[in-house]
Amino acid sequence: MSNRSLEKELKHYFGFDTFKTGQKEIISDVMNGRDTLGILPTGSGKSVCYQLPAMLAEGVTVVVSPLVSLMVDQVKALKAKGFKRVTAINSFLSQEQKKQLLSQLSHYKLVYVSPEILQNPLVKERLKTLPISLFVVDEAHCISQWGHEFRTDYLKLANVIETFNRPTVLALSGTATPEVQKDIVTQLGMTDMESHIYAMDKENISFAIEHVEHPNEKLVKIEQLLKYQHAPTMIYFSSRQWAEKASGELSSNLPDKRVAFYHGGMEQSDRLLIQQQFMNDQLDVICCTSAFGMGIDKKNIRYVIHFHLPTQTESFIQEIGRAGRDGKHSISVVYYSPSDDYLPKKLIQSELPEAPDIQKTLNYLFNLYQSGAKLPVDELVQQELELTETQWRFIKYHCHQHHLLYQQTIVFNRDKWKDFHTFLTNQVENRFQYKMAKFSELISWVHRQGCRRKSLYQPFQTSLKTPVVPCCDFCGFDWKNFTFGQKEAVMIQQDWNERLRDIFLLGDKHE
Amino acid sequence: MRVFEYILLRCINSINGERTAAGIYNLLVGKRSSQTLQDAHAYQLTDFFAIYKPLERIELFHAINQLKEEGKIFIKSEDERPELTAYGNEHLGRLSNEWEPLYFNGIRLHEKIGLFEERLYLYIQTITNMKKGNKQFLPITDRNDILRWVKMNYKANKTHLMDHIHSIYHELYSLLSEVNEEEAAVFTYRLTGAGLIGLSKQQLADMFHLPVHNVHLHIQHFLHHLYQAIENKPGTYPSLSIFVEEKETSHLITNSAQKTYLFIKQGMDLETISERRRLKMSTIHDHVVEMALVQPDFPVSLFVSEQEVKEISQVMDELQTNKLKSIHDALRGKFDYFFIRLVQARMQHQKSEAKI
Repeated sequence: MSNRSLEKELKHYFGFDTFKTGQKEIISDVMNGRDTLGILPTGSGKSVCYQLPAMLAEGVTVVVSPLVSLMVDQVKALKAKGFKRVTAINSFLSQEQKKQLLSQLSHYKLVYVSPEILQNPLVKERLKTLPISLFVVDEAHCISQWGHEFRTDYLKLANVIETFNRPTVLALSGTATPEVQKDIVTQLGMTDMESHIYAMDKENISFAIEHVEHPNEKLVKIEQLLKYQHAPTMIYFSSRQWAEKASGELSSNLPDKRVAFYHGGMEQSDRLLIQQQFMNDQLDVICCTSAFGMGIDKKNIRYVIHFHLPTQTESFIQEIGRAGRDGKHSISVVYYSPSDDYLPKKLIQSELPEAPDIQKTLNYLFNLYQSGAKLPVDELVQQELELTETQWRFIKYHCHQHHLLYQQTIVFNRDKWKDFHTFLTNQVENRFQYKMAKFSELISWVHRQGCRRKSLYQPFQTSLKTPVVPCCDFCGFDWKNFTFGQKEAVMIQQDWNERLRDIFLLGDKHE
Repeated sequence: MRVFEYILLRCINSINGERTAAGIYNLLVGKRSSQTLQDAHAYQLTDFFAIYKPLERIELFHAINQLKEEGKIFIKSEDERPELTAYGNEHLGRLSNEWEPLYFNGIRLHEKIGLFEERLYLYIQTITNMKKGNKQFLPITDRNDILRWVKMNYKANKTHLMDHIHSIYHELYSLLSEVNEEEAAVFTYRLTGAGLIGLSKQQLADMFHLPVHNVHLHIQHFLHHLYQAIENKPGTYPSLSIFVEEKETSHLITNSAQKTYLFIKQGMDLETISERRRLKMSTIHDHVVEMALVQPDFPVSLFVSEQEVKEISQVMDELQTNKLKSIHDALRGKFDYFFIRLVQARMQHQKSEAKI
């Protein structure tokens, strides 16, 4: 296909005149049947790299995506744009819905799947009968245990690709160190992939870090910062309680700002409303946990503030990548207090099983073995053993690796099980140390003297673009006195009948 | 706490020290246990069954505690069963004057209200966006069955969209005028229109200086009121009546076809219906055609595109026949008989309209 027509297709399907950096190169390779690895920074239109080929190719495009919420958002966004032939298969569907969907699967051009659901024999068999022309691994860093999120089910993808008659493979990630990039290729069972690696530094983001004594001080600082700004702002927290507390205080102390919180513990309908208000510029400031923002494509976010840091640099880079998608000046601000180290440590611990958990799990499996039972579904096991999803996934993966489990069957061998206990205990410790080291890396960035930009991106790339905005507080950016300007906020409470008229677009304003 | 307080006091009063706070919790969240259902009937609290599904246990205990501290109830320590004090009883009388009549009918509506609510919100979001010319917008629900239902009903009404929007507005306005100002305001701000997204419960609580409990109950109460008003007087609220399952549908349609129609309205596709109902696809097709014949506004477009309708009807006009086989042959077998019959059904309505 000639390049000119690719641009025409882009215009036709997405309404864009030109490709963003890297998109065209990746799409051309994919369309020519070459296995491709694409590393593109967050917010640079990664998904177009497979969505466009999916529209143009003869067969079906299967996309493996690790997050159900992300999948749902993507399908919704595509449908809103008018692509109807897109769907998602995930574990949230009821048995009946799944059956219905599978029976109509040939109707779709683009099918999102979770890595777990690909292990479901029914789904796998059905997909095998389709003419799959492109197999996409989104968030491909999940396949590497050196990546910032390791998903054991990703390791089974190489096998899946073979059973699907070896379609063209496209692996995509927003943040992957060179080490992880190599790992992706190997773990997917590829020998040769076209690589398109693009630098992830954003030339329109300025950086600032401020150290404070106590978390409460941060709120005061944020108030001062936002008081005279007209700038859509995201503030990241690592706990739901903090997000709610901050939202409450900021709204009462900044009465002309529209502030709300968002986290995974809210009712689904409320979550959707808040998300859309923010997209629709009905909110100025959103206090959120990492649950927010995966599928959000808001262009004009000016501030991404970290009240708490995530547990690693990769996540941090991903989160600030939500700022300034319109290419205009945006600012990343980190507030750090010494007590901040506590939360991430707890978070990392909660993702890994503890020593008693391991013993408890082995006892549980042994009892099942003795009674001749098979392993029940994950949710039940988690409940029974009081393990989180990530903890159980971790144990289960290693049980499979060490042949304690064969599919749902428990295989017993006294010596082997003893060794396994020792092995797993060590493994937990290693994983914990590794994660803590990743966290320390980010913390040491906060403490480092020198240009913020340089030291942040150093592990990922050799050279940096020249920023088109002030670089960072260290390089002389007077961020505390900087302002995006002010706008009179409109936050008038109307009579309900006026509001009703506005909703229905009736009355003078709308006629 | 007001409304929430009133409901709690009512429950405590009716239960009269015979159940613990956990029993009240089970009632309000609508726990599916025979004990809870039995209690609801025995203490005449069926109206409140499942009116507060997202209530958290700890929240209820906070509220109960507060009532205790305010001296409105006492709890015998040995069995943890709350009872009203004399003061509490007096207070309940005052609240009753303030809040009655309440229109909750939980036991009958609890399974319908959630669907009703989501359909209503999405439908208003959809028609207002269409009016504004926004063909692309992000729906405020993720549920596919709701999306399909809304799409179908929108299609059925899009030919007279402006009038339709007006009448939905007027019907809603008149029903909102019947309830107290606070409830009307909370409910109105919950709605999403084109470019105007509704508020979350926490935001509504902040805006109207209410506890979140009351926000939830106001919304629920209005939904119950709305549902029953429409159900009782579909003639007064013809546009809103699409949201309420008819007590009985047109007698012209067979029972079996009605069932199929119900499934279609829920957004199910024909294959699934045929599987579900263990009926042959041809029977389901018969049902669809039957309904298309009886109901002038049946959304034929769910099954055949405008283009296809045009193609088929052209041939029918040319041949001046209703003989399926001739039409089918003239189209060289391009279309299934089902499609041709549907188009026939639709043309029949157009003809009768033309005559009038």
